[in-house]
Amino acid sequence: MAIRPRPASPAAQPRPSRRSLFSFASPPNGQSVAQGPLAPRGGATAFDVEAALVQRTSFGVNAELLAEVRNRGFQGYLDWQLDPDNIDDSYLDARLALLPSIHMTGAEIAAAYPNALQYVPSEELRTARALRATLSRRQLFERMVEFWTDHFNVPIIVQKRYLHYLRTLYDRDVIRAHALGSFRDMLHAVARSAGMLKYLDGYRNTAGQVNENFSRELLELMTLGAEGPYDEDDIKELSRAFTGWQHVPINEPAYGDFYFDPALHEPGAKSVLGLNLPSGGEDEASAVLDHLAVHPVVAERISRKLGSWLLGYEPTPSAVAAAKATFLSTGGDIRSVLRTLLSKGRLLSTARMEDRKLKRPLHFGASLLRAAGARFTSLDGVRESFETLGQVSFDWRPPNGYPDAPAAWIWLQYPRLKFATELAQSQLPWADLAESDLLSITAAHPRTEWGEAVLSHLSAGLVRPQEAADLQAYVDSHPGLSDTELTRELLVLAALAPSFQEY
Amino acid sequence: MHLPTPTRRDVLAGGAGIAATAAGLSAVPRIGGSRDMLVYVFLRGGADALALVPPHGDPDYYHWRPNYGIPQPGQPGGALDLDGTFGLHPTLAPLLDVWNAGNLAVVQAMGSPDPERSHFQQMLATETATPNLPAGSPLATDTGWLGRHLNEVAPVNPVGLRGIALEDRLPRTLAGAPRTLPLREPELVHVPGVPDTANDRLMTHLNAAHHSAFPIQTALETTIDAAEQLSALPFASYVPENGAEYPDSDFGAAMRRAAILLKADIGIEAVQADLGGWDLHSLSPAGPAITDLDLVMEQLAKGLHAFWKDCQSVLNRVTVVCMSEFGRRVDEGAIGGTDHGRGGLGLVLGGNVNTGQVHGAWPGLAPGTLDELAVPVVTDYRDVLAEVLAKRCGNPVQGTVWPGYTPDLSLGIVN
Repeated sequence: MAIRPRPASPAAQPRPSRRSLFSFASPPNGQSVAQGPLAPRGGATAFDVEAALVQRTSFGVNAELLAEVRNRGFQGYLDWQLDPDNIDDSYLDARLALLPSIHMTGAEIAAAYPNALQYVPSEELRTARALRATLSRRQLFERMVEFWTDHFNVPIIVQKRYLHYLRTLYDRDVIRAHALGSFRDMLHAVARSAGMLKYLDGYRNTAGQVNENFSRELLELMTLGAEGPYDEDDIKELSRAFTGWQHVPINEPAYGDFYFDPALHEPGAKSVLGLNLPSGGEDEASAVLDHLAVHPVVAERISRKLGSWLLGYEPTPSAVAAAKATFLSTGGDIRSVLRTLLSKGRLLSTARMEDRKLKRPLHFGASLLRAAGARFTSLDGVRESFETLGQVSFDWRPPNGYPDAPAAWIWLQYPRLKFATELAQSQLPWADLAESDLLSITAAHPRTEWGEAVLSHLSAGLVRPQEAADLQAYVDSHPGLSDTELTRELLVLAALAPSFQEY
Repeated sequence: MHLPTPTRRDVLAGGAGIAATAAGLSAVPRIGGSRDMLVYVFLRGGADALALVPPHGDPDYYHWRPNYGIPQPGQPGGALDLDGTFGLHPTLAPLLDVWNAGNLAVVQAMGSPDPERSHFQQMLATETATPNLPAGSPLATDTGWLGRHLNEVAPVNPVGLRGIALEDRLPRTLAGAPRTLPLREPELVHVPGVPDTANDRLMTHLNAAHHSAFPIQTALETTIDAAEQLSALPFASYVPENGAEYPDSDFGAAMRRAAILLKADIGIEAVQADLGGWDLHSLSPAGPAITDLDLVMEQLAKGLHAFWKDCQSVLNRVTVVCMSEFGRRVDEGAIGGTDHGRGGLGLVLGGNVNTGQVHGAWPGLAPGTLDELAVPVVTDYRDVLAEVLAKRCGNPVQGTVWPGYTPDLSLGIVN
């Protein structure tokens, strides 16, 4: 569905049932968009920086977003994506409405999913992750959600009761609420979240029984970094300052809300990172969070990590420096930092195919569905299919989040081969790849160009010629295949090509 | 670069044929020559060596563990004596058979010279085998010691899988290894989909390796070969020998897979099967009179025991090494849990180990000998692994395996 224009006013339609959404699978109105990438403005044959912008800020290009960037231009597209609240996402929202738990409060979840149902919220949250990555039109926002999900990682560990309830609140009220907002606000929200309090033992950090787990990771992973300017005493003192930070327990109406318990707070002054904190309460650790949120070392680390996320594994020193300057001058406004990083000049500098990044499994799966123009015909099995790719959402146990490095993922080729084959052969029970859409990828081209046509379609033209030639060799050596057979098989080969597996 | 592919394909087909013959898993001509398959079990989380193999003969043991120490042999819940000083935790009782058969070597006070007590840092240092590496050192590496070992030795089989991690992702230990994949469930790997004719066409094309300069395509090529090899193995119909029963646990399943891979003899030189769950700062009851530590020990012991029993006929060509990133502190933490320590445990299982005693000098638990309330590291884990690689895995040189370190190969843990 993601490749199709949205219905004119879907919000005005009655709320659809699961049956009406999926059983008939009639596509929304609009022209077929399963065709080759639209040409860049001005017919430029050089590096297509507009396509690169879409590719770098999404879970994969599709025809709809390419059309948007052609219409809006580079800056207009970026502005549009940086204002997700004004991007209509009702098509996705109608499908998310079929996952009720992701919209519930903590108490509602606990009441609705007891005992045998208790893992349903986690399953729905994971299904929502796949749907959002694939279908959302707020693609830059979703990529940033992915970034912060790893940076402030909170996995679902069922032994830590009840992270399988609390993770839903954390996703919605912390990560998604602040993904494009203020780093300071996000830091405060993370530290006060029931999910993080549970995961890193903040709830057990009490007067006389100080637990350093959260404070250590806050400094080492979330802010200053392992080489950062702090020592063991800072961790100890900060842990004392955080005593009394609690969340409302289960079976209460405000389950999962933050509260400060003075009775559990270590009395006395503290000294953290050179800050002298007179004996107080919640304000002690809050002052440290404020301090960290605009610390130059933190600004640099976050800027570098964002550059690595969006531009390439090794962002240029100038990109990092510019982003850091923006971070500091705006008090950590994430949107502004992204605007600095995603300048046209910096996007042009990503042209070298050698510097491209490997898609992680979620990214690979979503981008293939998006590029191929597949439609969801059901939600049953979506989560399981994505999980076979090797990256179960919210399941990375250590606090550092899923790695963003080729070594972690490059060997998982078998799941990609299987996923691509099943999609291309219409064997995924929840996905529909219409034959007419499939054929429209190649229909406008003579067979002598099909290799290039299919590979370019999947990757918005950002491809290596030798890989297109490799696909063409397949075409040339199988003249007896029907158009449908050949297009399906080229789709598999193109999905596995480095040009598509990288971005 | 249109290299004709028959070489790889033909040899692989030969391998698959052998594997198919191996459905009965007997009288299979060996590919592997005289080299052992190494099964590496990383006990992630810091296993409490003083609970698993308690030094019941050490006069200070019960001083440090007054409430949760394992009682002396002969007492209720007591240790199962090994050599008069050390014993096995009673939950590890299945391993006593292996010990008595002379197939289990135990190392105590083993670990890394790096004093780091963070799991992340110590696992990283251990897996890359670069302990105490100063920032900016030229010895820094992203590859793992086992990956470098596989790169150094000539492959047993010129095509096909050389290493497999029965994991979701490739562990750092195997990073950099040639023809090595993470496949938690190798039995599920087959060339997917229908129609078969389309797959044949696609696989033939992908196998042509026009462009293997790209790491992605190297990985893809390895994957396609592995699919051919593994889909010929009898995972579903496999019946362990000698009535061995693998426990119904992830680790039990992994050891069962390791046994199938070992007996199929398709040239796999290294298998990694990690077992986590050892980071127990406090113990929780997991049932009547058992804790979460018992549960993970039981997984380990039953999994190793089943493998040993099942693989009697091929025990001369496998070595299993189990170790953790560090041991734990000597003093008791909350309800029998313990905090991160230093020296820990090594278990080496196979047909060519030297048993009968616990290896490595034992420093004792006197307060003056301890390293910040932990057993000091006396035996460098690199010496243990290097001896196994040298004597059992065909790599006497190990020029790149241990950056900046020349291991001592004289511990005598294996023959």
